[in-house]
Order: sequence, then C-alpha cells, then structure tokens
Amino acid sequence: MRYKSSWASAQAAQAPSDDETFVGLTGAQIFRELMHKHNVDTIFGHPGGASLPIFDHALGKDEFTLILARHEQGAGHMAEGYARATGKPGIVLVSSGAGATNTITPIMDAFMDGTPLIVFTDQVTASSKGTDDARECDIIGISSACTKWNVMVKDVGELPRRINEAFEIATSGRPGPVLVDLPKDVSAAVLEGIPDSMPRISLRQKQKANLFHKTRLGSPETPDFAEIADMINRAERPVIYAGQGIMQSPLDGPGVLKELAEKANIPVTTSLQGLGAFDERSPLSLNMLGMHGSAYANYAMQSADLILALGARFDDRVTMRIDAFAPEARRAEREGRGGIVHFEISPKNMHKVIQPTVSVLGDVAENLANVVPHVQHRAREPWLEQISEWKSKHPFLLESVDTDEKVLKPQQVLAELDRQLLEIQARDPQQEVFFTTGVGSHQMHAAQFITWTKPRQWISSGGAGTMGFGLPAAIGAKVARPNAIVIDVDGDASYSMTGMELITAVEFKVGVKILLLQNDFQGMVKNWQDLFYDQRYSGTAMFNPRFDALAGSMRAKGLYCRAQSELAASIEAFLAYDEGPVLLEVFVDKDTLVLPMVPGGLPLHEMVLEPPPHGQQT
Amino acid sequence: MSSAASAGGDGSGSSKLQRLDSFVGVSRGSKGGKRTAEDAVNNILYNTPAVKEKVKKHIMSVLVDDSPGVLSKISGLMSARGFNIDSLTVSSTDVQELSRVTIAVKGPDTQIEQAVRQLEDLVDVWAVLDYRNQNIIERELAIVKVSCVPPPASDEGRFPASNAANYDEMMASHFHRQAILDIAKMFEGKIIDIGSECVIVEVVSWSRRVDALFRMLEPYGIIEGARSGIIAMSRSTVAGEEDADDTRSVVDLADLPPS
Repeated sequence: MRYKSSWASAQAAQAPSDDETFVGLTGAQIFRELMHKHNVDTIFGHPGGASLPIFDHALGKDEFTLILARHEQGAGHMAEGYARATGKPGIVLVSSGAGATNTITPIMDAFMDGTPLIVFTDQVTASSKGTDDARECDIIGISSACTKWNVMVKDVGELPRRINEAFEIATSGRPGPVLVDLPKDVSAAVLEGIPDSMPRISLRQKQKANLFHKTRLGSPETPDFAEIADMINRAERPVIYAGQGIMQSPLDGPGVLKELAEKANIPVTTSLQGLGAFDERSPLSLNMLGMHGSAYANYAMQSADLILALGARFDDRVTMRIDAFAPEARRAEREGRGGIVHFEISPKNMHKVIQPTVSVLGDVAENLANVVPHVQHRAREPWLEQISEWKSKHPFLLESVDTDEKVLKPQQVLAELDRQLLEIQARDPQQEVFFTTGVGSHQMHAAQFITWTKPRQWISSGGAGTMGFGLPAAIGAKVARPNAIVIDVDGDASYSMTGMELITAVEFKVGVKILLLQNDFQGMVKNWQDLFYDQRYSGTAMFNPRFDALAGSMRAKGLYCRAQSELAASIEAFLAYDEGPVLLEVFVDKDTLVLPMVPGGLPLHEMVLEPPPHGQQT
Repeated sequence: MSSAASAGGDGSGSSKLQRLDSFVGVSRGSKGGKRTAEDAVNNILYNTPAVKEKVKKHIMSVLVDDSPGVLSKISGLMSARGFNIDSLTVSSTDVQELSRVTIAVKGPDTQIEQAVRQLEDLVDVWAVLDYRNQNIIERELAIVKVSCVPPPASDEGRFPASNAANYDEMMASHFHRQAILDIAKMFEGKIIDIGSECVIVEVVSWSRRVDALFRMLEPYGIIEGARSGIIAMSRSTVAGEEDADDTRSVVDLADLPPS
C-alpha cells in the first residue's frame, strides 16, 4: 500500500453507515460532526459574515478549542505549527473575500514544505456567485496553484464526501494543503437525502500507485531491497541524507533510521526540514548540510561513495551546483560500486533534480524497514576517523565576525540557550521542546547551534521562507502540546510581520516563549549587501519599537538583555517563566554573517569557512 | 535551381546548361549513354532534402476526472511550469465521469518527463499516457475556407464582347476550384461548403499532413482556417511482434572455452 494516510485507520474504524445520521442536519452541523469524526480538537480562524452559520455551531457548543487570530495569515501559520508539531492536519476556518486570500501565504508555505493543512473558506451564496458580490472572490482559482487539491461544495449532499476527501488528500502521500470552499447557503441548508460520503478520491489514490507503474515502462513494481542492502554493505564511505519525509510516515521512520545508522555505522546528515530526524548527540550525526550547513556534512556528501536519500528532495540549497554535486558517488556509480539511492513517496519528486542510481518509490519508513534486515554490521573506521578529523577542524563558529567582544553574538545566545535546554532535558527526559523560527540569519543560527534530538522539534518555513512564520507557528505548536517548552527564535524584521498575534497568545493563555534577536536590520539580506553590494544597505535597516515594552502592552511578559554578563541569567528567567507568553529581546551584533556559506553557483564543498577580517568584505 | 548537392559529381564551375543536363540526364546518363549508378546516386542525393534539427513534438493523453476546473488546472500547471503547448484538446469519453485531454508539447526530453510527472501528481488526473516511444495513431481535423476567385485574368477575349470578361473569369474560377478539389482529394479530404467566392475544405489526417495542406492551399488564398487539435491513441500490437527481436539465443561466455 503505497499511499497510506495517517488517518486511514481512524477513518476505517468509523463506519460510513452513520451517513444516515446526517439527514435533517444543516451543513454547519454536518461540518461539526465531521470534525469530530476526524479527531479535530482545535480550529484556528477568524470569523466573518459568510462563516456565521459554522461559527455559531462550533462556538456555541464548546467542543473545540477555537483560536481566533488577529489576522488570517496568523491563523494559517498557527494551523501549520499545530500540524508540524503533531502530524495531524491543521484546520483553518476563515470568511470569504479578503479573509480567504489572507490565507494564501500559509497555504503556499504548507504546499512548499509538505505540511497537512485544511482550509475552509466561506463563500457568498451560489446564486450570487459571479456577480461581484461584496466579499466574493474566486478563491478556488487563486489557490489552485498552491494547493494539493481544492473544491467548492455545490450542494449540502456532497459536503460529507468533500470533507472526507479533503482529509484523505491532505494527509496522504506527501502531505499538503487543501482548500474547501463553503458557500453560505450550503452551510445553512438542511440535508434531505442520504449522502454518499465515501471519498471517491481515496480509492483513486491507491489505484494511482499501480497505474503509475503501468504507464512508466521500466519502473520496477517492488524495489530490490536485497540489492540496496548489498550496496550499503559494500560501500566504504556511505552517508545518509535524511529529510522531512522520514518523519512524516505513520511508521516510526526515525526509529528505523537510527537502527540502520547504528547497525552499519553510517553517518547521518539532515536537510533543514529533517532536523530532529536523527539525534544530534550521537557521534554519527553530521548536523545539517547545504548552503549554510556544517563543513563536515558537506565534505562528507561530496566524498561519499553511497548516498541514501531518505524522504528528501535535493533542494537547490542542498545540491548547490548540480553538475558538481556528489562527484564521488557518481564515480562510484560508474564503477558499479555505489551511487545515490533515493527513497521518496511522491513520484513527482523522483528524477526531478538529480537522476538517482536506484529509485525507491513509496513510504520511506516502510521501504527502509525492508532493507535494514539485510544490512550487515561494519565498523568503517577509516571513514569515521576522517569525519572526526573534519569535525574537529571545522566546528560551527561561535563568532562569525571579529568585532567588539562585549557585544552579544547571536551564535552565543543560541549556544547558551541550547546548553540550558540540554540541562533541563537531562533532568527530565520526558520534557518536550519545540522551536519555531522566522526567516533569516537567526533561522540559520538556530538550525546550527541548537542540538536537535527528537522529531518534529524544528518548525520553520523552509521552501517558502515566510517571514513572520515564527510567532503564530509557536502558538499553534503550544496549543497542540501544552506541556512542552515552545520557543520562537525570531528576528526583528520577521517578528514585525505577525507580531500582533502575541495578544492572541495572551488571550488564549498560550505560553509561548519568544527569543527576539534584535539587531535593527534584516540580517540575512544585510549580509548579502555586505558581501556583494559594497555594504549599501538599501531597504534593510529596521525602525523598531521597544519589543519588550510592546509585549508588556499586550499583557505578556517583556524582558531584555544587552550584555554578555546578563545572558545566562536572562535565559534562565526566560525559560523559567510559566505565567504566560514571554518575550526576551536580546540586542545582538549587527554583523550576523552565517558561516559556513556556499556562495551561489559553486559546488557544495567550496564553502566560505572563515569570517572576513573586520571591516572588509570577501 | 540552386547548385546541385552532388557528392563527387561533375564538380563546381559547371555551366547552368551542364547542370540542367545532369538533372535531365535521369533517364539518359551524363555521358549520353546508359544511366550509371553514379548518376542515379547523384540524382537521389540531389532530390533528398537536407537534414534539419527540429524540436520534436511530443504527444500525451491525460485521463482526468470530469469535474469543473480540471482543464483550467491542467493548463495552469503547464503554463506555470513554462511548457510550450502546441495544442490541447479535451472531450468526454464513453464513461461519463472520465474525460480525455490530448496535449501536444514541444520541448527537450527531460522537460517532457517533468511535465508528465507533474500532471500525474494532480489529484484529478487518473493517468498520463506518454506517447514518446510508442507507435500511435494521431488525427486532427482541419477546415479551411479557400477563395475560389482567381486573380484578375488578362483582357484578351475570344468570345463576343458582352460575355468575354465574364466567361474568362468564370472558367478561371472553375479551374481554380477544380485545383482546390484536387488538392483536397490528394489529402483524402472533401469540400464541405461551396459558395460563389469561396469553398471550405475539410481534411482529417495527422498533424504534419495538415500542415502540408495549409501550405498547399496558401497560394490559392486562404480566408480562414481552423484546426481542432490532435487526438491520439496507441496502436495495437500484432501477436508475435514483440518476440521477433529476441531471435538471438543468449550465449553465456562462461560456457565457451577461453579464446
């Protein structure tokens, strides 16, 4: 079964015969019933005229946690944070017109990063459609390009089927966003006949896998697991490149990965979205690879004779110059002793960026679990020694630019935060910690300097790079996991985009922690202006409020830290505060170069490793 | 006639007359006697058009769910990814919920591969039949409105003055129309509409043939032409056809003594 969805078992357990119970209910009531059926506990949204029938039912009964955001984009990102933290689809409910279009950014973000999201938008009545009615918009047309699937429900009789299909599509294969458009008269209409609510599309998804093999002549039906295991056993310098896909399987992907890595002594590097798939405390961990990844991971990838890509899509940030990517693996492929093995669930992503030696289509964890029994133990000492040598020569630098020592560096702040969190987790191994980030240099520093131990800890916007993702996603994650420590590492420019949602967190008692690395600049863009544009800072300087005072005005706790000497104590107070949301504004150095860095157009191993001498650019 | 493309023929610097001779000498031979092999080869080479690198057209059939917006999704996907669509035809099939979209795309192989995979990924798409390496039947319908009023004839008349100009024009028009009908017949088409000033020619054939029809009719004056777009289907195989290639028995070199 190639396209097993996470909730297939839940759906199968509930008999479709309760369709009869829907007769006599209004569309809004049916909506409510189906939310229960699909184990939805939280809905993020923003009300409006067209969605009143639904909100009336959802609100009135107190059955769901209803988080009303201050902006629909915030609601969308909250649902994304929820979905990334749990694996369940995030549910968004917004009104028509501008309310719906405000969710396009989170939908596009979910589409790029493979996050399951179901967005219900309300629509004007079917009869007034096309007449440019107030707050009408063709959200189906607008969201077609960035959803896995979308639909406008035309009749209350097909409402159960469409909602079931939405859940099936959002969570199967590579997860993604779906949009269901509900006209006002459908929500208000009463169902008279018995609906056929079995999703037709789910049958198709399952059949698709077989049809795909029939139309792609030459693609094997079942991958040859023994052959892949043989390649692993013979490889001298194998590397595992793990992506988000390994964590999205209903089976325990990270567990299988750990078993394989430890059994065969294969070092593991992860993509940005794969952080947490492998415990970075293990000596086999290479941390992140790519444009801002660790030097040792990049060297390892370029020197490896066998690369196992598990649920990763070879994004351009990982491959950099494609014709110079993985040269040793290509050489091994020509000599018949290695190459690239790509485990991937989405046929679209196979053979897209690179041509793998062996392509394994299907659920990553399921396929990998079939390979592991045939893999033999090997010590691989020379390879692991080489990697240790690289690790000791090129660790992540705590200081990227040599400036005044008294000024705090963002790397130091994150390293201190990591140290304290590891202590907390050592005392209480059950304590969950989640991180969300905005986009920019703070995001890269967080990826580098936090030690990732568990899956789903890292919640960040990768493919789309949405600034303002951090705070609402943190709210969504905290709502999903109230007992976890949820920290939003943000920059001043990113935070400003959705900062109003802090008051949503206060209102609904969602105790998120915001670590704001304040440098009065859009740091990442400023770096590029330093390197390529002669330090001409056009449009990157930020005119900021006092963020800690702003937090205070929203009745959250505001803290700030300016000096090295205050750092440890500030972070301790920050982590200890448990009376609600807290924002710690840390003033950091304006020069926040992220190293290592692979300049565009160069191969993966040609990194800038050293910071430029103070005052000069490279 | 431009210079002959002969490989080792009578060489450059031949006069026009000599070149004309070598062409006319198809049946006679350049030396005036029997036609030699060299003459024949020269003649064939001369008449074979030069090889031109052409961007290949690929055809695929997409079987989709018949729901509103599917066509828009498919064309949206193709345009979003920058694929060069030559034609796109959609229609229903014998099954009500199933529609068939036939797309002709121009582009390099890897791009086409991507297009196929992206299309397959759409939820409403059941399957994509990629006809790149298959034998197919392709057909396209074209209707062309051609003028049958020839350019004005000369003023000379052989008949009484009152009918002179009319008669010449009338006969010229007749021959003009006859020529169009002949061309249509060559393409196995027919005339489906007749008027005093124009006729409509209908032809059903594969795409390149339809291109040729347009080129042939152009001198006669095309008023307007419409093409329906390609529909295609894979050819069926004859029993035993696939096995024909495997007539060689595979010999394992390990069984043979060393040489």
